[in-house]
Amino acid sequence: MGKIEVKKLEDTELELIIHDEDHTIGNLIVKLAEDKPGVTYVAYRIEHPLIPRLIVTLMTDGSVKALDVLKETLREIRDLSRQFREEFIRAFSEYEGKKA
Amino acid sequence: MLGEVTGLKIKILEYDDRSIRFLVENIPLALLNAIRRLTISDVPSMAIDYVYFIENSSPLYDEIVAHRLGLIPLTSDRALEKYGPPEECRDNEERPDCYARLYLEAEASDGTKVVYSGDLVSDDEDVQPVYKNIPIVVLGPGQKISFEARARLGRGREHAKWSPVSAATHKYVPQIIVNSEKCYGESCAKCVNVCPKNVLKIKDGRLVVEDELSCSLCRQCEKVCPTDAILVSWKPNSYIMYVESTGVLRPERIVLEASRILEEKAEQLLSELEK
Amino acid sequence: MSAGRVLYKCGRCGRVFDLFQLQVLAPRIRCPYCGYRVIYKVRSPVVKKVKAI
Repeated sequence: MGKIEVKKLEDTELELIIHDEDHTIGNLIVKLAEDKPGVTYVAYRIEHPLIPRLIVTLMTDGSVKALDVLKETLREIRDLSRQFREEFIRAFSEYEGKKA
Repeated sequence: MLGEVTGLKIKILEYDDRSIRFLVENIPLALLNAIRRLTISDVPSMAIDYVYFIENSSPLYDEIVAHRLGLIPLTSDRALEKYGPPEECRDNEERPDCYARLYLEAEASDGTKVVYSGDLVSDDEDVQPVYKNIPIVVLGPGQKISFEARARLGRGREHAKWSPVSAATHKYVPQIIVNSEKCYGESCAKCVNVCPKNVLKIKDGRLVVEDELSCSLCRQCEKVCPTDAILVSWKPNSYIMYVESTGVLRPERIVLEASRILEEKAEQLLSELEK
Repeated sequence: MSAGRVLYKCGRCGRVFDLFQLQVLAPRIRCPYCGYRVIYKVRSPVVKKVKAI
């Protein structure tokens, strides 16, 4: 699950192949990365629906390293998921509390 | 807590044994959708995967009965902790914490007998059919069926029988604005009649939005209004998510597991990148 | 292969017999006990493993 192959890795451009992932992660990475400062291009594609292979391409203008942007995006996903979970738990206990 | 910084807010709207509906604000839509997709494909649950037939003189082939057994929802709340993950347990019948066993032996002595999901006998009290009244097969006089079924944890992405949800949706939060100066009220009421969700009502001769959150944003009311008095819009950055369980897991547990899995995926990809 | 003896069952008298006994009345297919002509093949005693998919 999620093994990564590097197709291209330069300071301003990176292209990775992530195995066993799909639009769930791909779209999320792109949507969060596209508005980050320094990013000029970010996209994902799945070349065939029967083959679980996700390709992510990210290009920057030089003010940041492409790999760093991706790492920052993944950290954001991790932190937001955790936040969602904590807030959901809080909201749920609040709801249960009111029921009583 | 980070939530105070980003403004992420959740409020539970409806909740029962099988479903949960909640409002989420200030979250990237792609993140909410990722969680929704994970509830379908990645949250694990228990389901029968192998069936060992000893006898089957029923009208259905072994494979058909096995297929039906696979689709029976099994309670999985405790099983998520008790049994090994699908990646390690698939086809691993030696490992004791991989498979739960369910037995069934039935015979129709005279007359017809229906075999139900409730007739399954599990050797784990935490893994039981969620519903007892699912017909498995009908036996005619003299017909007999006898098997041992093995259930394991799996994910929806491997087979739909392992998906813990029957529905997982999110939508915008509707905002309906009525311009009372332009609206004819009781004398027109065209919008009230055309609304498929019965959101609009006439009260005291005036148009009233009664059940705004049930609006499906179809805009039929806008279309039939002769004066453009009604406008259908949505609150920005606000979503309503609905998750309906098949009964294998509690609905709130499904959402929690999905968000946990997303966190794990991000963490796993990050560590893969440190190479 | 590993199925042991192949068994058959008469449709009328219900008696069970094997291939050897069946061939007593070869080439005709008949129950060697009551002569009935409908014979069922008994399910192999091997436990069958089926994937529930």
